Amino acid sequence: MKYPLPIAEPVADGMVMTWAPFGEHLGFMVLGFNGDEICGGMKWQDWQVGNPQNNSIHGGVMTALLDQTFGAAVFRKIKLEVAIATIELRIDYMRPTLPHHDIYCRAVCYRTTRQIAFTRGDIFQDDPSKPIAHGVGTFMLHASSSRPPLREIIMEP
Amino acid sequence: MAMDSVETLNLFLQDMPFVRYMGVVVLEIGEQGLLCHMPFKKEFIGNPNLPAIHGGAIASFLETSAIATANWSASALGQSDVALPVSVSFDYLRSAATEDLYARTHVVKQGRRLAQITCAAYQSDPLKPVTSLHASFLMSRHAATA
Repeated sequence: MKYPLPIAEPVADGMVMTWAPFGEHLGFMVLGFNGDEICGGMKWQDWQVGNPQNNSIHGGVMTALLDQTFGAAVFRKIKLEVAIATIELRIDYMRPTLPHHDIYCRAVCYRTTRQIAFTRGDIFQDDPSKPIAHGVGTFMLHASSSRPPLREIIMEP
Repeated sequence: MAMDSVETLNLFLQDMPFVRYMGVVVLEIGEQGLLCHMPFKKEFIGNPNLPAIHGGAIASFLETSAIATANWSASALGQSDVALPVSVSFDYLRSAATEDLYARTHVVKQGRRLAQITCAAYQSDPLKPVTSLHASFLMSRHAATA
């Protein structure tokens, strides 16, 4: 895969998103970081086609890629290992994917509060100025019922 | 192809490789929507600690259910257009256990150019939805362009 934009901190050979079995199975990778931004992607795979007329990838695959890259962006931002949960996702589909071209995703967590993280990101193929999809996601921090860690205090409100 | 029966809707879905992999099927046609089903697979897990199904797997299921619904609804009006998703929104209400998922779908509005669909996914209790969707679909004469 060749991410079509510069990456400040590339991850050699990419890192498979193994922390979630579904993402690992679909082939989601972290390719590097630009500050808080996650540069991710996946190889084009024919079994993920949703529209056999134009051989474009199913929207659910792209939603899953955005959801998981958003989650990675939250961790990148808060730098804490806490349980997080997606509360809301919204995806706009702007054009179908081209067949046999790898798929890239960039996502950033642009705001956190004590309990909530806000993310945004997009999906593109060879040309980032021609987005396939754009999404926003809202996450709950400390999603499990366990008490939030002390480090929460040092986070900015 | 008229998508007016469970069989024709499932043939339509089975044509999509990713839907075959996910195992989504239409079970029933109701007055204003469909009942869809996705059997659980281990690969769908997103959080192995809880464990819970991945939000993206639920999204794939709901979006597929909504696509089937929009195409069924267009077909019922005698339209031969293909319904293409434009904007899709998901509310995650509860974590989804490692069990089968069901979805009740509802046609909010079927127009000549647009359709609005809502769906709710649930597991053992239909009154405790795990995720809900609302989506806008464009009715397109050409399946290849959005």
